[in-house]
Order: sequence, then structure tokens, then C-alpha cells
Amino acid sequence: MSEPDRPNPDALLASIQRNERAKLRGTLKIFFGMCPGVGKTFAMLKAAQSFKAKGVSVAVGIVETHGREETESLLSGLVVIPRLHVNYKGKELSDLDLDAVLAARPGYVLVDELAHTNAEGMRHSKRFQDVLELLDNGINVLATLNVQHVESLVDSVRQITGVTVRETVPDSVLDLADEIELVDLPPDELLARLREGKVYTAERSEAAAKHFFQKGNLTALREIALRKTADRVNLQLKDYMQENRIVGPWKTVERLMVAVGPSPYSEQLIRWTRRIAATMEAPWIAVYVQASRPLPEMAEKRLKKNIALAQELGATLLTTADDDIAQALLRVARQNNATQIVIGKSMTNPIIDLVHGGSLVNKLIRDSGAIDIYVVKSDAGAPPKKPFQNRGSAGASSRQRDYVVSGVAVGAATAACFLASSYIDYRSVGMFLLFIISLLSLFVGRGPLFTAAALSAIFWDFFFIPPLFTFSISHPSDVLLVSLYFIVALVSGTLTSRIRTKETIVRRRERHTSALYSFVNALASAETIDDIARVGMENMTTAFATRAALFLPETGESIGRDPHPLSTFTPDTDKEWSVAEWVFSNKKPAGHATATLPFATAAYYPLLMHGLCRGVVGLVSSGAREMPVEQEGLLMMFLHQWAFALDRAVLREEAARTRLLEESERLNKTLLNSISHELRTPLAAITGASSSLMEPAVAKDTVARDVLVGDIRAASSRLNRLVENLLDMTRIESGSLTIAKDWCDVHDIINSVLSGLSEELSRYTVRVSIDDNLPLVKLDGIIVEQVLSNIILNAAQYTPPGTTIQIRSLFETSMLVFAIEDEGPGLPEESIGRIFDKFYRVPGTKAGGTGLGLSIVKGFVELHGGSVEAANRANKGARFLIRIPVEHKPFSDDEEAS
Amino acid sequence: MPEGKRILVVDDEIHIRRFLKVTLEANGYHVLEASTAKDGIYKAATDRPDAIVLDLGLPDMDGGAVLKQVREWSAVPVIILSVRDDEKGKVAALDAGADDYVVKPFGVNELIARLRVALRHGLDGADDIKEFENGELFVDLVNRIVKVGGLPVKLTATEYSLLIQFVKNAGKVLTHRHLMREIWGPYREDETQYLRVYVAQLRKKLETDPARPKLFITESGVGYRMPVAE
Repeated sequence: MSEPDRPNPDALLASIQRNERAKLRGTLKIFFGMCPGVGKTFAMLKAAQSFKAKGVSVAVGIVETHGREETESLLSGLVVIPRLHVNYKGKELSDLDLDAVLAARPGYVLVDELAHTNAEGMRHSKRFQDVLELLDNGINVLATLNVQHVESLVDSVRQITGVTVRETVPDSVLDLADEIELVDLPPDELLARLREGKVYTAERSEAAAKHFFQKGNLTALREIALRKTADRVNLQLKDYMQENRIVGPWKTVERLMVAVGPSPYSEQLIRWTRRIAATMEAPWIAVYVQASRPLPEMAEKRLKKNIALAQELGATLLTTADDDIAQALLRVARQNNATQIVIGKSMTNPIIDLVHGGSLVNKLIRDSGAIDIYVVKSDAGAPPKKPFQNRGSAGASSRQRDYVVSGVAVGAATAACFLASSYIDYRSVGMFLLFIISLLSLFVGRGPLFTAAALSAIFWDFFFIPPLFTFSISHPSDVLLVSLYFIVALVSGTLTSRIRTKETIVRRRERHTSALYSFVNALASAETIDDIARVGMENMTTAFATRAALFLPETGESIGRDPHPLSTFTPDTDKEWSVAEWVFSNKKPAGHATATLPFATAAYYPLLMHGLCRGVVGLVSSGAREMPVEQEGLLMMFLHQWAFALDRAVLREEAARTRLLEESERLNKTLLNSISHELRTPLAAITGASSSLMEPAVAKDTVARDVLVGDIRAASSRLNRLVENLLDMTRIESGSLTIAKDWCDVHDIINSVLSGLSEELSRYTVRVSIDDNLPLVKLDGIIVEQVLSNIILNAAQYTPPGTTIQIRSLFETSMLVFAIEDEGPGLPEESIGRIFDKFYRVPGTKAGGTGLGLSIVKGFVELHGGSVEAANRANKGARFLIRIPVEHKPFSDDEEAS
Repeated sequence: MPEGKRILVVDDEIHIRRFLKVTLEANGYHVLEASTAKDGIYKAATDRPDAIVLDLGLPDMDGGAVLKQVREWSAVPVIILSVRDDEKGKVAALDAGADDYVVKPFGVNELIARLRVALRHGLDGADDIKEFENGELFVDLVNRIVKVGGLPVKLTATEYSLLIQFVKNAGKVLTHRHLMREIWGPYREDETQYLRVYVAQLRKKLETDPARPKLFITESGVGYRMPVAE
């Protein structure tokens, strides 16, 4: 197979993924028309009726019949979901009730007029966003759309009809549609329908016809609609060919790049690029070159809008920082293999261009090499204002102050020099003024500096250069001096000022980098989810100086109602909280200053990693100003790192849980092995002995009978002990064991233990010493009996008969102490640390015993808040030491008096 | 002696009933059987047994509830069969009027000994004991004289009334609650520390070896018992 014949694997994968996704999400069918009145709604309803006839559930989400009878008649028999009514500024508005549709879960839902802008207070600002959410939830959607509402076609439509369309639908939504049905009507027929009042009601149609429904317009719109549909069919064909390995003429991969800036022209450029990219089927990149000068607020806002537009239209967004735009663009283009760069014609001013060594266009063309440069004429009619004239109020006031400061400084310096003019000559005055200008450049921007330089030159000339108090200069060398002065002042001032702004930028970037660095560093050392949440909250609030709230998922499906304890704000209303919840389930940002649920006071971002939402962060922006693009970039990086860390921690916890499970499985196996052996041994003894007893010969032999009966009894009590141990262990493990403390006499406890073990201890000497001053103590006597009993039995089992077991009890500083000492072989050093572990048995010990007794001891003692330790005695044997903190009371007979 | 004494065994386990029937009948008792609580109550009412051996864990009703019903109209001695770790159940049953308890698994000797004590208490009202003797201990209830090894011992008023409780109920388990109520009245039932102190004092004064008591035996988690003099 030759190289060009092979289907592009990436495209193939994308196509498969699209199909995969399509299986989970609902399908979208768009009825596409050139203008209102062609019968889109009618066609949609007909389709709905046919679905219904096939038994598919169809619901009407929102349908505008505009009072058309034939359309209305098609509504009959369909379930209509009531609209959601909101009262906005006294006006009753109604829109698609998204939640009602989600709750109803119809097979298909009809949504008319995709480009509609929702009333304020609805979840999404645009109706197409409602549709996207429906699709995400697996509901199939039938929708209508007119060609003039398609984002990338807005310019073309304006050029044809002169109407600027505000309600637009991103092309990406159109691309998402599984099917687009063109609803076509020849313009003459449409106009006829219009005249008959079938499109709009009579009074509205007159006005509408004048502005929009002209035959020329309609023909042009029809052509655009047809072409758009044709493009799409073409694309679908390509998809089909690729999937089915039909070898076709593959285009070489083109890649477009467009520069995005704060200029209003930029919007046009973006749309233009998208259009070209779509027809070429080429990917496209939008690049924003950040200069060292901070942008005024209005420009910042426009820039954000343009960037959002580019993303909406499907561009890959890149940002880079450089003061030389041309160089930056070429660099990004080369790094990303862009083959074509799109720029606007009127992006710069010719005079400034001269200073900067040629216009941007010229520079680009000069250095572009293999990259093609498209220069697109900008539509002069579109932007009513010049790009940089609109200054934010905050910037303006600080600027005004700078002008005043500059003026006052120059004035004061001039006055001072004037007073001292009899002592210094006018050249020194010039030097002094120059010094003042240099000083000023450290504090004020370029504009005020220019004013100060000009003002000081004028003052100098007027007050100091002979002839005094005139603007004329007598000496030619003084003319030169003043001109030079002006230029030097300007240049040095400008340079300083520029260095200063650059420095600010560098410092800010430095700050960002170090903030990010310290964040990543802190995250790296945070282990648990809690740590990561804490680190994140701390860094978030310091780096962005905002109030933040973090919500972590409680289960896989929902986030906790209460934000993380370190959160610096809490959503106070249900509505506010529901935004966070929406973000979690839809994995998209929402809230303040976003397109979704903008009524919220905070903006909420999902912490996404590998398609899973690990949490939701809410940020309350401080002040009215929106976050600058640069800071938003930093925020995204923060969130990404945070999500990454959380994801890692969650996975780690899952891994730990799995390990725990494996461990408990292993324990279970050990238990089963040990228990089955322990259970079978006495059972075998009982079965064997009892069956022997049934033998008549054995039954007659009284000696043998007594031995066998004794064996049965011994085996039974061994079995009983095992069962009791197992029950105790289970009670400790399950946490169902509660201790019931009561006043106890330690003598009683020890006596009970010894009488219970009298049989087992019959061949040992037991020595008991109890401190005379031992008070009454409050503890669970039965449990403590069990503890002592297990240890003493243990001593009896593992030491040779005839030796002494010593039991001591004393009381020291609120601690009840028991010491059990034996004279056996002692414990092997390597076992001492593990002797209280469940199922642990000292290697090489005799059979019988489950390794449970001592672990029960430990569990019981710990229930009392005490400790138990084992050690070898200096000369011989082992010592077990138990310490239990107890409430105590001296033995006394105060009560005697009563 | 036990000739013809009729014992009702209420237990749902056929093996337990069978071995009790065999052993008790070998010891001269007559055994009636019931496998459910209902049947047990019915037989207790109709057959008028001399003593009941009652399992606490019955399928249709809690053994404690059976005891309560029986106690409404009968003072027949009842011995409870319980499992270890059910101290609460035991104490509740004893406080509800059970005479004694035996923990499963139990040796049959133990059960027969308890049964014998219970039957004797049921037979003669314990109130008219005038003298009591157990090992070194001698109590003259009429003249309020206590002697150990023939030597008189001075007891305080509280110590003496406590001792009398043991003497009158020799062989029976006395719960902490019961003793508290008898000696200190119904409002201090939970302040068992006094009881511990007085039992310790009685041991010091009356036991030959207070460290290994033979008279005042501790029943873990339940109470005390004074064994019957054999």
C-alpha cells in the first residue's frame, strides 16, 4: 500500500470516537433553513409524528408555531412539556424547562430555534447549551436553525442583508449534529407565503418583509444554506470513505493559524479563518501574543471574548508572550507546523510601523519562509470605535493622576529654578529639568511623560532661554539645545518607562511561576486527599487573593453539601450550591462570568482528570473586575495540578484499599487453614472415642471406657475454648464489643480466673501477690478475667509442668498493673514483636492453639485504653505486663455510719 | 430425696433434651419435655412440675419472657440454661425470678447440684432458718451471733444483714442488684462499689483464707453465691 493511500489513523480514531460517543449521548438532528418561514418547525413536527407512529416517545420541549394553523395541527397528540416561566423585570418570559425534560426522559425532544437566548435566571444563557446538556444525558434532540444564526456565517449574512445577528450558534454545535436536514423553499414561494400571512401574522410581516425578505437577500441566504449543507454532506462522505477504507484523494494536511488580539477586527478574522479552515478541512490555531504592556480593561474584555469565540469555533488556543508580535507569530507557527497565517490588514498604524521597522504584515512576509500569509481586509463598517480608545474607569483615573503629578513636578521644578535663576545659568536649568523628567519616568506612563517633556521644554524656553518670557530663541545653538533636550528627555523617559513596565510583567510572571512552583512542590509532598485539599485551598486563596470553596465527591455520584473546612466561603443558598452540583455532574465550569448559570455569586470549576471529576472549586472574584486572561491561564494550571494531585491520591487510596482487601483475604485463608485443623482435631478425637465406646468389647472394659470418656471431655473443652476465642475475636473485629465498666475487686478477678483454670493449672505452682493497697477499680471485670485467663493459660501451655507461674498485681499512678511471669523457655527474640499478631504462632511450638489467644488479649486491653507487652525475664522465662488506666476508689467503710 | 420429682426441660435442641432426660432419669427424677416456649408454658401450667430447666434462647419466644409469664402464677424453681457472654441475659433472668443458671456447655454434675439446691429452696421456706453452718462458719440467726472456728466475730449492722442474705439463700446466686436492693434500698442499685467493699470485709472477717474465698464466691459479671454446706 503506498503512503498516500493509507487512511489517516488519527482521523480514523476520531471518527470511531465520534461514533462511540454517539452511542452514549443522544443524537441531534437539525432542521436547517435559509430564513424564517421555510417550514423548519413544520418539518420537525412531521418527523416527530412519524417517530411517534413508530412507538418512540416524543415530547415537545419548546415549539414556536407563530400562530400558523397547519403547524399547530401537527402538535396534536404530542406530549408538551410546560415551559418554565420567569418574571424578569416585570415581564413574563418563558423558556425550555430543562429539568422537566431531563426528568421526563423522552426518547426524542423537540427544541425549536436553537439560537435563542434564554431569559436571565435560566441555567444556561443560550438554548443550544440546554440542548448540549440534553444530549449529554442521552436524550435525542430535534432542533431547528436558520442559516443566519451560524457563528461563522454571521459576517457573510451581514454583508448580504445588512443585519447584524446577535443570537448565534457555534459551528461546533452544528458539527455535533448527527444529521442536518435542509428545509428548502424557493424565494418566490416564500415571498408568496409571506404575503398570505402564513409566516408571520399580518402586521409583523409587513415590517419584516421590508428589511429582510427581499428576493435578492433570500437567494443569497439560500445559497449559503445550500453550500453549508453541501459542505457537510461532503464531510460525511469523507468520514464514510475513511471508516470504510475507501481510498480517495487525500489532501495534504494544511494548518491555519490566526492571531487573536483585543481588536474588534480580530473577531472577523477568527470567523474568516474558521470558514476557510472548514472548507479546507484543516485544523486551525488561534494565537494570542501577550505584550509586556498590560491591557486596559475594555481591551481585556474584548480579548477574552475573541479568545472564547475562537475556542467556540473549534480553534486550538495557544498563548505566548513577546513584544515582537511578528516574531512570536512565526515562532508559534513553526512550532505547530502551521502552513498558513491569517492576519488583518489594518492592525497597526503606519507611523508606529516605521519606528518598529516595518508593518507587521511586511515583517511577517519578510521572515515567513515557507509559511503562507493571508492578509484579510477588515470590514470597515463593522467596528464603530477604535480599538484602544475605550479605557476602563480605573485605568483612566490613575492616568489622570499621573498627568497631574507630571505637570505639578515640572511646574515646581521650573518655579524653583526660576527663583534660583540669578545663581545658575539656563543650561544648568536644562540639566535639572532633564533630571526631573528622568525621575518622573520611574513613576508615570508614556503619555504623562511625553506631556512633561514637552511642558518642560516650553517652560525652559519661555522662562530661562534668552530672550526671556518669549518662545523665540535668539541663539541658533540654543534652538539645537532645546530640540536635543526634548528628544533626550523623551527617549530616556520612554526607555525607562518601558523597562519599568517590562519589569512589572517579568515580576508578575515570576510571581506566577513561583506561585505555581510552590504549589506543585507542596502538592508533591501532600499524600492524602485531605492534605491535598488543604494545600490547594491555602495556595488558591493566597495566589488569587479570592475566597474559595472546595467540594469533594462524597460518593462517586455526588459532591458533599458542606464545603471543605478550609473553604473561605460557603454557598449560602440552595441555588448557589446547585451550581456546584451542576458543575460536578456536567464537568464544565459554570457560575459567575460564565455562560452557564451566570447568576451565581461565585464561579465554579471542575477538577477534571482522566474524564473524572475529582472535585469542584468555587471562586468568588474579588472586586468587579474580571480575572485577566493571564491570571486565568494561571488558574487553569493551578486547577489542573490540583486535579492531578487529587486524582493521584484517590487512586492511591483505592490501591491501598485493594491491598487491604488482599491482606484480609490472606488472613482469611490463614484463618481457614488454622481453624479447620483446630476444629478437626478435637472432632476426630470425639468421633473416634465415642465410636469405640459403642464397641461392646470396649464398653465392658471399665478402664478403657473411663479413658475414652475423659478424652471426649478434654476434646470438647478444647473445642469450646476455640469457639469462644473465635467469638471473642469476631466481637473485637466487628467493633460490636462494648465494655461495661463497673467497680471491681482485683482479688475477685484473679480468684475467678484461677478457679476457672483449676484443671489446666493443676500441675503448676501458682503464686499470687496482690498489693495490699490496691483500691477498688472501675473496669469490665469479665473482659479483664478473659485477658488474664488467656495469658495464664498460655503460660501453662508453653512451660513445663512443675514450674511456677507468678501473678502480681499492683497499682501505680492511676494504672492497674498485672505481671504474669513463668519459668519456661522464654520467647524467641524474633517473635517478641509479633506475638500479639492475629494467627501468629511461635515457630516450632507444639500443635493446639490458633494464635488467637494473645491477639484477643491485646484487643481487650486496648479496649480499656491499656497496653500489653511481652518480654523475657533476666534469668528464665517470659513476662507479660499489662497496664490499664483505671478510675479508682480506696476500700473504705464510710458507709458504715449510714 | 429426688424420688419422682418432676422436672420440665424447655429447650429446642433435641440432643440437649435427650441427654438431660437420660441423666436426670438415671438420677431418679421424672422428666417432662417441651421444645417451644408456648409448649413450655402450657406444660408448666398443666403438669405442675417441681422444677423447670429453661433455655434462654428459644425459637418462638425469649426464655426471659417465658420466665415472666410463669412467675405470674407460680413460684416453681427455675434454672436457666444460658451461653457465655450473655451476662445481661443471665442477670435479667435472675432478677426476674430465676433461681439459678448454668452456662452451656455444662457438666451434668453441676446442673444436678444446682437443681438439688433449687428444689430444697422451693420446698421449705428459707425464712425460718434458725441456725446455719458452713465449714468454720456458724451463724445463730435468733441471737445474731456469728462464730468462725468457734470464736465469736463482731460484725457491723450492714455486714450482718449482708451475711444473712447469703445465709438465707445459700447455694443460690445473688445478683449485685438484688443484694444492693435488699441492703441499701432500691435507689442505689447501681452503686456496686459499696457491695464490693462489704463483701471484701466479710471475707476478711469470716474466710479462713480471704485470698481464696470458700464462702463468698464471685460469679463473674452476675453476683455472689454462698455454696451449700455438704
